Amino acid sequence: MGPSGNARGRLALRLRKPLISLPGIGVMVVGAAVALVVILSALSPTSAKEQLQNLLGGTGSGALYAAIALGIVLTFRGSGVVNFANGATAMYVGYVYNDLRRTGKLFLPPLPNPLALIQGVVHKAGAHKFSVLDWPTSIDFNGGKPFTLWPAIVLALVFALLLGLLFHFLVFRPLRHAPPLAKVVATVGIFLVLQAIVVLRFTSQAQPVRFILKKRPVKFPGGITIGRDQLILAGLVVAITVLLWAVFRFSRFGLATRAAAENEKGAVLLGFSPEFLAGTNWVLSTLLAGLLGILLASVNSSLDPITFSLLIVPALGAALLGGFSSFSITTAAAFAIAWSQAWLRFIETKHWFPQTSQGPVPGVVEALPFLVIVVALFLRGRALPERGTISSGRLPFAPRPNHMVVRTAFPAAVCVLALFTLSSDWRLAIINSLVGMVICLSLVVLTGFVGQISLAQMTIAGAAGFTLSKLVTSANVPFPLGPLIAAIVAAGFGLLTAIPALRVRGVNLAVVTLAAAVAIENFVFRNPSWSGGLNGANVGPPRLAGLKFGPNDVTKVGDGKLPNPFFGLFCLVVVVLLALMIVNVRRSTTGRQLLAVRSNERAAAAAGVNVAGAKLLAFGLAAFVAGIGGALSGYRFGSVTPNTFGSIASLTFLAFAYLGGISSVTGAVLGGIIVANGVSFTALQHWFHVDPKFTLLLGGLGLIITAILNPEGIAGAVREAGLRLEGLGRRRRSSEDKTTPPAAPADLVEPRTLAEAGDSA
Amino acid sequence: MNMHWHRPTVRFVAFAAAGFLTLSACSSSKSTKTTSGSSTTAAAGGTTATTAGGSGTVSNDYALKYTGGTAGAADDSKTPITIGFVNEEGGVPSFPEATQGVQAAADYVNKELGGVQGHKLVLEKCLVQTEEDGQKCGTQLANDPKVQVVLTGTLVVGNQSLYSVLAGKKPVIIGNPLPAPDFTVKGTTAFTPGSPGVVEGMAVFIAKKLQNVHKVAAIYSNNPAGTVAFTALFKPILAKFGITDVTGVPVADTATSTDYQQALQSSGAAKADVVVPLVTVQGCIAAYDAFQALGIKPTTVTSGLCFGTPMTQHLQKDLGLKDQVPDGWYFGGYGYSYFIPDAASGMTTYLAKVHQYGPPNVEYTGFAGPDFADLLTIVKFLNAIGADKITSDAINAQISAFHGPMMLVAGPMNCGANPVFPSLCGTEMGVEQYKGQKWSAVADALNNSAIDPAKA
Repeated sequence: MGPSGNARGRLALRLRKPLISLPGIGVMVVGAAVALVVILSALSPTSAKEQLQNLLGGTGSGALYAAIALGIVLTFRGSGVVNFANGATAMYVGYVYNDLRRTGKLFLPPLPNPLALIQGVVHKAGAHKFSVLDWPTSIDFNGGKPFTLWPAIVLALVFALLLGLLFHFLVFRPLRHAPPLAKVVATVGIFLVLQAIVVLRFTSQAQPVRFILKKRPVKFPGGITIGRDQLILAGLVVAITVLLWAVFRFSRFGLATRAAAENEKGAVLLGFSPEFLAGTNWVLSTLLAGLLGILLASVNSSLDPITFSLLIVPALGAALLGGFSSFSITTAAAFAIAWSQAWLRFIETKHWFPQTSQGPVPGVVEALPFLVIVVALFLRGRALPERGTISSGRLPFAPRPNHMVVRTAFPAAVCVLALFTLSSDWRLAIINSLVGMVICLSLVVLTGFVGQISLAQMTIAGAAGFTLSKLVTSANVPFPLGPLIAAIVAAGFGLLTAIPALRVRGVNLAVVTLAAAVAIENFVFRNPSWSGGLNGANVGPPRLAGLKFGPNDVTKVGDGKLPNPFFGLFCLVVVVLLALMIVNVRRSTTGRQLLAVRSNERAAAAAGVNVAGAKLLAFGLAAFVAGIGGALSGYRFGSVTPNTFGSIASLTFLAFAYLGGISSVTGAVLGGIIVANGVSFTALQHWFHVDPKFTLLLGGLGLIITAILNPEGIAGAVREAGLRLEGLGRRRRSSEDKTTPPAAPADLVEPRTLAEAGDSA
Repeated sequence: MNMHWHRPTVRFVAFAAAGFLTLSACSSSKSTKTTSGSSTTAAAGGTTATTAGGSGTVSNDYALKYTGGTAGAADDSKTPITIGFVNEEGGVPSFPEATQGVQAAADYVNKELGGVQGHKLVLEKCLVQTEEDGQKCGTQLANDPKVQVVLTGTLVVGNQSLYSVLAGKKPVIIGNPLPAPDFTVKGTTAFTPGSPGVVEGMAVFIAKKLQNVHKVAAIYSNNPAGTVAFTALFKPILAKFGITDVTGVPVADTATSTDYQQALQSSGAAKADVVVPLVTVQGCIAAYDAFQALGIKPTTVTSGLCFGTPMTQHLQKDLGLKDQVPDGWYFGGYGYSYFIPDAASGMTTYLAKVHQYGPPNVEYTGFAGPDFADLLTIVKFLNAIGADKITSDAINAQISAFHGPMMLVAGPMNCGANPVFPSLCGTEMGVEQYKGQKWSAVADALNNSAIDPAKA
């Protein structure tokens, strides 16, 4: 017999207590890195000088990580938001600076011209010569001449300041009482929007950046050489760290920010405005990100939309080691991670390093931040301090599904009709949407029902895709056994990801899963023994009892064109089965337990719910569903590639799932409809001539707006509209009857029992 | 302070909220059909035309002879012939120059080479950024009965899904084979030695043409193409010639100068006899900067990916140098040089026409050239078949019977003969060097010493 619920709750509380202090962790990690180097140096025949040279080669990268990480810590201390978009902000200000330096102009986002609508209407009426004002693309501050260094820096920093104010007033101030999920989603939305604007304005190609610091070597005793620009940048980052420490330690503003972080109510009583403090810290954070973005771009001599944005993973690792509060430990951890990576990269070139058929085992360097994060979380348990916020908003409503026959049969019938009657591009869009729905369904289980934020669902789907490829090409495992085994393997990966989730939650878990995604992508998917080496990871088309229903199998049914509508039908069957399974989970006791865990883990444990078991179940089930999605994706393309299942893809899918409505099956269906290359974007392209390149921008904007105005997504908005209409009808009927008062909808009835509380969570 | 404006392209009237989504900037859809987009006035075939790019005048004789075309413009009244074209653009990385090259070739054929027996060439373009796009393009082109042959530009993503739809259904000619599927998928064809030929040739060059090479440091892109290039092609050839001290360090596609400094140190570049960056032009720029930051100037052998406008701009505008590319570097390519143009390979024709029909400041040194040559080769096949008899089978028969010479590419063509890389037809590559602001042929078809890795 296991311990009682109360005992388990006490155990859980005890487990969540930090096992070690914050400075201790920093010292331990740096110490462990040094010890590792010393031990392996002793074992390695390579000279110590050579190893030190290579270790210090990571100084520049350390400065990059620290720069991004300091911004993350600053934002968290000021507003309680873990800003996943900090790297993207640095990148964006870097582009602003570079454009001012090269053209003297400030570029503007490629937003739609609202006047185009008027022009269109007038043209339709026959006045073809009528034209409206054009939409600005840039603002020229210098008569078309490039700015010199300092004016460009000052103007770019003014822009960064305005960006910080925009972030605060438009996004995070409205979200100040929102749950962590909404804040994470909003920062992901900003990440996507900033990246999309830059791609649309400048393409994804790297842009050259003029040096601020000339490239010269600095030679140290013993023949060790480091680039001068790297040293100056590192020095600057250390100086900023000291400055931040001093401000937060000694100034009234810093002390007030710390007070508000500890207890917002207390800060208000003392006369501080938490909102003012949050706004000021946002401005400081974007200024810092902007300044360092400019310098980093100069040191790197190029700018692109991806590099800075992805520095967020090691930077989050460093910030986590610093407990999202200590600037000095964060900076030290960033340098320790970068130096360790540089040293590992050198060690990889040695003949004794584990090899694959195509060189050293890949992904070891990229996996390091993940290991650091996991170790840090294990040691600290609850690394991210909770803020004493005045109140925290409720999570998206997870309605109890009803009328399942009608709600399943009708859309399914429409889908079948569309698959066999619409043109091939619509058919392809439907198939893409159906595959997207499967991934969104997995997020409904994990994030919607249990409140666990996973940024690794596409990576887990990829694990199934690569497994399926191995099963099909190497072992000739037939359909449907292949995809089922692959999904079970994915479930295994999901359970592995769940282990940290037993100790951490919320944003911390998002950080862990993002790091895990990067590690799995590099360590597993880029490993030639998984990725198929020279021939790639191919997935043959599905066959069952002589039936050929792969996407590229030609059939005479329908218009006879590709993709095969029967593949679409197969995807639809899978979606319906998985949706029904998840609906049943939601309606069952298990579903109520999952929702209880989402609402309040301690209360759930006190009520006898096995919190750890519920989380493991959710992770396993969600990963199984994602695995099915990965297998479908493999069949769809005839192959699997690491790019399809990368960490950015996971972020994007979380965005679409949230937009659709992350806490219901209907939301997952809507999320699938709006995925890239899905039905909605095909409609926008066909009917409104919206180029698919705007997918990311629209998705990001939609995500931010949804997080602020409608956390329950499109599905929630539709349901609410339905309920209002229903209420309106009832009121009308009741006014006609004037006898009985209208009954509230079942979902809105106050719960009487714990089981019902789960339903209304 | 001035505002810069662009005029909205209003395609139709959209109402209510949906209309708001009519983005002013979205004037082009992803899949477009274009014929001649150039406003340049072309000279009649058989005569000479002044080129816009300052490459002097050039005769159409080479192109007319090569394609079997007729001097003059195509007849607008005849049914156009459609060729599918798929290229990677808009993502990371992006190769717009391939589209520019193939469009310039189509315009040239239509304006001066008589189209295909008078029929205008139309390119059905489809651009790729993701694996989904590859499948979408493949499906679109497979379904289009007007398309009997598909040409690709440069794809590092989306090729597997593209080929899974098209291979075996319609002939696919790969413009610039880079990642593994480009040279391993049966039913596709590349009229170049591809990255396998160039990378293996570079290894042969280092081992046989450079003196006293014992230690080689390579930096390669951490993607399937880069990994295969280093581990399966480059390193084994060096080992075959007895050079075993070879260190390779992978770098991300988006690696910066800082990353390259680290990678160069890890590879032992400071002590290496030869350093080999197997990366794109942005990577080469970062590698060059990293050399400066570390204070080293090694003997550098790289591929043609490392020259181009971004490199020249960086050296001249950012650093104030006069060099076009880094001084002393060796560049491997397809056996002829954009910088040492000759008439016999079609290089002078290409340079003149890509400047004439391409956009201003066209990037002519990268992936534009092979695609320009491939389109003219397809026209050659179509002319030989006859405009009214074009089928996928007939084009496949022409491909099998083609043994060269191939425009801009050295050596004979031998399609399907390579058991490991069945798509590759080209066999030879060449190396040129830039030194003292001058280009020279070191080991290529221009000095009759092109390298055939299989025979080395």
